[in-house]
Amino acid sequence: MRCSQCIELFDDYIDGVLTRDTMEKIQAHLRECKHCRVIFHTYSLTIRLSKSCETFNTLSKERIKKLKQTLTRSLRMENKEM
Amino acid sequence: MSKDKTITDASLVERVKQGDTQAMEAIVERYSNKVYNLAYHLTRDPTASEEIMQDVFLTVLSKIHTLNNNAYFSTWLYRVTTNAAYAHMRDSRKVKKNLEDLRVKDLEKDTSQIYDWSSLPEDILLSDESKQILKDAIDSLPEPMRIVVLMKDVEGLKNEDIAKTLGLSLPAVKSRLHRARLLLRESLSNYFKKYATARPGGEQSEM
Ligand SMILES: [Zn+2]
Repeated sequence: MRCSQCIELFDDYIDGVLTRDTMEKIQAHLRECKHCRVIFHTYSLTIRLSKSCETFNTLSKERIKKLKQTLTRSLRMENKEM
Repeated sequence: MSKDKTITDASLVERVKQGDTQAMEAIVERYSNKVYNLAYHLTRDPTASEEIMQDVFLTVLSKIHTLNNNAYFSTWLYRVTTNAAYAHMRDSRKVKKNLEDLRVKDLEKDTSQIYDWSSLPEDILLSDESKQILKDAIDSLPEPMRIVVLMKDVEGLKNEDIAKTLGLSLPAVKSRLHRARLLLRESLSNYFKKYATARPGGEQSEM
């Protein structure tokens, strides 16, 4: 397996959707190729760090209350029509 | 008001279908922040995201009878959200034009960086500074890649849902995602390399 082929398959490798044979070829390549191994480690970690970018904004209680009121009105209106 | 996390989405949806406003409020409690945040990640516009959130819930409420399998509620909700955010972006940012431009220069060059920063301690990896580097890198990705990586790696949507939402094939989603990750990895490598000599414990290149 060439380095470029190995790197192309990282996504599928991480998702675990490859055949056993291909998985083993990648594992073998990663064992002997430090270059791909480093890229694999940092690629995997990049995915993990992206998850930590989930800046979780919290809406104000007031905003949520307003939304509920709007939706309640809409739901009541719809029920009347039915 | 029901805040019980053990009530399934499916049973809440069933009650909403019968006009139960309390169940609807429970769904708002459960999902309004998620919908808002997804819209915010995609549009980077807090005001637009509030409008999108309200529109999404109104749309979902008016179409809830068309949802056949109640268990798919959240998938459906996220799809409506991304569609709405995407429509907003198409109007405001001319995303469509950029959609064609997927070529990325010198991806091969990327693979020449071989400092293994994955062995750095967590406090460096997860520092505010490194998070900011990554956020900036995500923001500066070509639009088609930015959207996919935000949906998948940041927000945790499924490839299939992203494909449906963006009208792409699954392989197209995967390919964009892979390229986006390689570019982000490159940005992080550029940032973390300052630790390469300072921390001899990291795996050193032999090449
Ligand atoms: Zn290799």
